[in-house]
Amino acid sequence: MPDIYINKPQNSQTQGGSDTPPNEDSQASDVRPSSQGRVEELRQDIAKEVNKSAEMPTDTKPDLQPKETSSPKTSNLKEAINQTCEDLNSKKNGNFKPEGGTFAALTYMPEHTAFQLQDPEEEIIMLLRAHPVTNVRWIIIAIILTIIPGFLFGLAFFDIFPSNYIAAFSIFWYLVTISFVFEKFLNWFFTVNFITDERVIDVNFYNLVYKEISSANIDSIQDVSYSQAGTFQSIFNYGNVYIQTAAEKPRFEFTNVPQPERVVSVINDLKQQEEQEKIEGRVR
Amino acid sequence: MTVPGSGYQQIVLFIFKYGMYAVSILHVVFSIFVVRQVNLMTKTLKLGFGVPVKLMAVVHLILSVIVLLLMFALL
Repeated sequence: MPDIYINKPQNSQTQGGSDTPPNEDSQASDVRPSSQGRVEELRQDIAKEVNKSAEMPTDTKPDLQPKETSSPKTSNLKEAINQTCEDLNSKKNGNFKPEGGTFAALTYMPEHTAFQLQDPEEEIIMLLRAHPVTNVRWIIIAIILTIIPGFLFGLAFFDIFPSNYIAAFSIFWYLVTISFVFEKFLNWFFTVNFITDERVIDVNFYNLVYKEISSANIDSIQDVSYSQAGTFQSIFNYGNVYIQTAAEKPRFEFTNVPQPERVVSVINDLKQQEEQEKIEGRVR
Repeated sequence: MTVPGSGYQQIVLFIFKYGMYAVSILHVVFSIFVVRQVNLMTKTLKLGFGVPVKLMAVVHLILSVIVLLLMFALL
């Protein structure tokens, strides 16, 4: 019985102290004489807390708002959070122009983009794929493959082949080169990472026979970091983003994505926003 | 179709001819596989370039079939 009595004012504290105090006479008769002093102390403490919360403006509750005395780093983060949230709201209202096109390595708030198993209310915030400069390697290989037949047929070995054989071989060679380019393009184009307002998704088409799709909720993300190593990554501003999660797949790696610091910042914003939603009890 | 030349040259041309047939047939199989995979990819991800990619995959398959027929015609 005393437990029931003590809980009532605590609930009223969370609701802004608007509840009327319980009937003391009826409650006092239920409390044993040995615990009456303790109950009285608790009642006074609770009354003080209720008064404090009643005096406090509703928009300055410490648990729900970032502290004013934050460091420059956290204030920057706060601005970024606001920016991401604002952009997301603008997108929902149809007032946001997406950054990046169909072939961009980083598209912010993309339109006409979706993936399998996407929640109807889920909004894509970032679409990422490897930086275009990473394609230079296979483009050079394709150029070499294109010019190879010119040198190859100059070799003495090919003198034994009639012209129709050489023509057939050339045609097939160029077909294989086209296939190589097409396969590399498909792998680059469809190997993407999504950051939505609810989760991160990693889609990997390692080759034409192996596909892997993994996702983790934003609230299960424990740590986000990135690395930029080498001259190319520094010059063209791309790198790897590593995400440690408490999900089934413990580590996500977004490979060679552009502007990795921005990606980390957006994920941190969403993490912060998710935590705030949890505190406020907003669950979708 | 007869293989020109004689001796060592004939063996090389024979291997080359049937080798080209085999790899061309394999390439057609690969192209069919690419079409199937592209359909799967475009179903999985809608990135606003689905139709042209599907078209490229089909063109690639048609090219493979044309090259296979050319092999039979040329060799």
